Amino acid sequence: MSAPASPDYPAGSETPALLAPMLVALLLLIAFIALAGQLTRGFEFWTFESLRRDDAAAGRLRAPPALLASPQGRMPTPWPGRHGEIFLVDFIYTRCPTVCSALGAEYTRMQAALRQRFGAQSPVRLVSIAFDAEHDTPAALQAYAAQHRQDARLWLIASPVDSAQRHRLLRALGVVAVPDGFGGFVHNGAIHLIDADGTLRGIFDLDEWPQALERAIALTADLAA
Amino acid sequence: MSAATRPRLGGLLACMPLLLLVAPLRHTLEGSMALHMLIELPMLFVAGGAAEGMLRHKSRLAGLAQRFDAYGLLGLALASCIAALWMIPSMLDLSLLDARVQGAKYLAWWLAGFLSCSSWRRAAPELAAFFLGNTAWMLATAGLLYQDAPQRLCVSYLQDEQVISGQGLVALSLLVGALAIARLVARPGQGVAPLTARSTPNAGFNPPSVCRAPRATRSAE
Repeated sequence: MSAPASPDYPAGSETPALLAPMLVALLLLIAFIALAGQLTRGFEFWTFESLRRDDAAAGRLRAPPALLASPQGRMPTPWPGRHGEIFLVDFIYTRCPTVCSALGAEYTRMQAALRQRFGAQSPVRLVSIAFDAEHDTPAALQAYAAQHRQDARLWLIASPVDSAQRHRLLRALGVVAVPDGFGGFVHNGAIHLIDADGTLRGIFDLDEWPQALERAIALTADLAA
Repeated sequence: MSAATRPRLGGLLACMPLLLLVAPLRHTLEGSMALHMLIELPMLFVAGGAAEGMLRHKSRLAGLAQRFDAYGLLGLALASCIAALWMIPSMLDLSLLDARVQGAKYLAWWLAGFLSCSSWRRAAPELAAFFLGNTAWMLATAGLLYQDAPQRLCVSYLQDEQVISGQGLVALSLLVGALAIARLVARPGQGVAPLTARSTPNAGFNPPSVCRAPRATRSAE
């Protein structure tokens, strides 16, 4: 196919074929639509957070083991752990006046529920990872623990011992904290359900803590069976 | 602008991506959503266009482009697709968290500038206006969505920045839309699409200076 004769394309001049570039442009468009479809997993997930949650639901994310510092001393992450254990993990910074305080209050409630159901030997345990290396000192963690009435048998509050371990852990789970301009952070704080292998099995919003707890207990029952 | 200063400006514009090798500068540009979307990405695009403007008389690329994309359709289509792809919020986050996506971003935007600059000269005004109009519409839509989203769309940026970026995208869409209209308005009696590999570049509308041929070669102007 050639372009038709027109004032722009005078008759008699050699006009390059138009069909081939049109077909290639069409293929290009199809390729980009396919790429966009793949990147958004069928045009369903347009944000990093939604992709992360889909990854979590499918068990595609795994928390690496890390060395933690807590008021009780240094210890490894509880994962890898014993078969059947489940950890409800959140990411906090102790100076956080909003989200982390809310998370702390929810963890206090979950801790009470776990103690009532399992006693001190709960297969579901709580873990709070503090990521503000500058301010989340053992003393600050101790104060946070006291504020939220932490029971160390059920709830571990600690921070990675160095920036490399912190970065590796947060990056593996897709947790991103950005400075809020007021000395604090904004982060995709949520409750992460992690199994004994370190595999992320689900992410729950702050107000979904009862569902997170229910899911964790159901998983331990499934794994025990 | 004089013929002497234009190549110098083109060279400077083409070298702008080297600034991204300076880590603090890159972190500053990519640390703000508005700077990321409205400065860094357009800078890469302009740098690609400037590079094309400098290379087109010294390489076989011009001949290849003229041969395979005589109507400018492919370059403009590719640039439109790349621009649309980078309006997806997850792409911005991924480019900050995954070095491969970051590299793809630099390359894609530079390439979009390189190819579309050449295509812009060859494309008929209607075709150029069609792609620019679509890009303007897409930028405006993304800008309005960014402003109206009730939550953060990118985990790497605050919601305030998202609103500012949305406003910037709408402003950019107006600029692109104006460029589309200008291309159409400049057409009557002047704009002529190239017909063959021997034809002269489109002379009806003065494209951005980085896309123009050096004065000595622009006999049609």
